[in-house]
Amino acid sequence: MADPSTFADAAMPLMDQLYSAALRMTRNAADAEDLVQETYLKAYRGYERFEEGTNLKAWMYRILTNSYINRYRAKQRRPDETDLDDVEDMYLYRRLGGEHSSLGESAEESFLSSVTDDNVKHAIEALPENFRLAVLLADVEGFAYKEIAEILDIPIGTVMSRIHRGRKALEKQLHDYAGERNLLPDTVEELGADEEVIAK
Amino acid sequence: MNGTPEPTEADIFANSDPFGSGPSPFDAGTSPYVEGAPTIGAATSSFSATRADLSCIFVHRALEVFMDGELPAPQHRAVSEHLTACPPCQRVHTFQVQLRSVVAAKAIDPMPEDVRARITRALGFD
Repeated sequence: MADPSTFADAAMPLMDQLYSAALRMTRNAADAEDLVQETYLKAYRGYERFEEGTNLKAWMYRILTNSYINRYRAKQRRPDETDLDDVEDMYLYRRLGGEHSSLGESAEESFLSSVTDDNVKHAIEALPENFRLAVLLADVEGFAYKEIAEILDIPIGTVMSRIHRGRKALEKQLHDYAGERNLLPDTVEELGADEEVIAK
Repeated sequence: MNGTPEPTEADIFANSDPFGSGPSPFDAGTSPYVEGAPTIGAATSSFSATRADLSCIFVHRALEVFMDGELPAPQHRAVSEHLTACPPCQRVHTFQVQLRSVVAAKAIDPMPEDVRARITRALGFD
């Protein structure tokens, strides 16, 4: 059982992280602020039930996620069950030319340095909810599969499947943004065009 | 004829690739980390963890779980050794690591100070 007087020191430093996650979940600032406030109030009230020595960050994210799901799924009436199209493995690496390209590392480097904060935020926010939460918890918050499984209350196999497919969709989205800015090497555009012809 | 026949390349790849046959490790419900799942038994028992046995295809498939730090220790070591010795795989790995760090670093928004103050007040910490 956790001592309530330790809550402020332990939990308050997590606020920026929780707010960023709440923003990616709700996709707007006013809702994210409310969600973080609700999370802190619930966590403080329930802090006696937090087992000291276990992972406070994971516990806070579980409260955040549950609050989000309860509040916004209720609003939507039913969960967002949108699925993702299949995207090939290493989508971006291959599109940037991969190991076969003479452009090679320069294409990879210039792509990575061209990605903006807004690109990343919009790409995450564009993912369907189930995939968005899994990718957010894995890649932005750095949780382990087991922790994500507990936070989202889903089996580990489902966690792995969602982050794997979510990451590929994220790569595709980032690639599309780069294409819109004409930042992709010409040969790669051609390669993409060839593949479309073949697909037809 | 004595002794066992030399393993073919296909045999080596089949034995060293825990994900080679059967479902992908990423399919829901078939995690190799779930007790009793069919893939991991075969993987750990036949995984001899010598670098020569590791195909680049195995490394590509295992890379994501490797980067997540979720491969069992022998496989983790084997992938790590392969990456040290194989420049093309190393390049894929470097790109994926950099991509992840870009994603993690660029999705951060600081909490507005007035909202932080409001929450601190609501909790009675001011």
